[in-house]
Amino acid sequence: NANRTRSRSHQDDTLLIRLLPVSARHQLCVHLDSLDVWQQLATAVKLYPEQVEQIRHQKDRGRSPSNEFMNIWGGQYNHTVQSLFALFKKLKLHHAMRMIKDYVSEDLHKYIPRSLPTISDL
Amino acid sequence: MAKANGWCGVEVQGNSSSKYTRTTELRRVEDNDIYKLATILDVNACWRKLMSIIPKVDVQACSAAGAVKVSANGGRKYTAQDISLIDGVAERLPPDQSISQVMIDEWKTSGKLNERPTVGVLLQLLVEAELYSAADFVALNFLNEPKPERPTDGPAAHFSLELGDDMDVDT
Repeated sequence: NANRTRSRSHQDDTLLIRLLPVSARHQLCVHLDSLDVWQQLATAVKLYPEQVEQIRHQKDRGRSPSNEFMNIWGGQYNHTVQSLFALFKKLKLHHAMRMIKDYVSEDLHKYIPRSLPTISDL
Repeated sequence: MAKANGWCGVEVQGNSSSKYTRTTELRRVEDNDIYKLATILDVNACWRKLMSIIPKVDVQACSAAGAVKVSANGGRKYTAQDISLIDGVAERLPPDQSISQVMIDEWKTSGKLNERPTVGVLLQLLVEAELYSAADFVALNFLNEPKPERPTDGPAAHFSLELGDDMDVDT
């Protein structure tokens, strides 16, 4: 532990993942589960193998792997919705970014790519 | 400023606006404050991770200074059996009660004077076990200190927007 380097003080005092409204979190998890991206999320944030197994175990029992990911990354590690936004950006999960845009600072909205028009828009 | 992961002999800084200090024994912390901490530890069974790293207090321990020195042989206070005993209690708990609170109640009353856990020891162990929701809560709400620093790598590290990505920015 003495060799562990520390990050410089971080000025992110935005909303915590674990305090997201239940409905917002639920919708987000439904979307992420439909894309089956939980393993990419776990890899990108460097979860430990036993934590990955924990998520897989929940999935095998019919529970939402994305929700379990949030329990770990948000519930234990106390990360913010802004960090989640950054994670989605890195993995190019644009619709997920859109789903949480109201919970991050407006000046980050520029990072959400404009969605392509659908046939019905034209 | 006192660091969250100080060892024995860390300076104890009094803070007139904090509710507790690092030397406050856990058994002196108000029940509803313990409860708020406990509900955080209930998520992802974090109480088990905390319980499993609580060290056996050796003769050099100085909880009077709000920190504890983990004995060289890594002796732990609670065994896997102790943990599963608490698990057994969980099954019979009413829904409004917290299993983590059961664990903390057991821990906070154990030991003699100068061996009993303090807020400082709690915070030190939470950081060691990477239980950052709980650690941030204790630092901010019990001690009125800044959140403990994060490691630069691993799941606890901050995850920030990388500038200079090849993504187009919509203005």
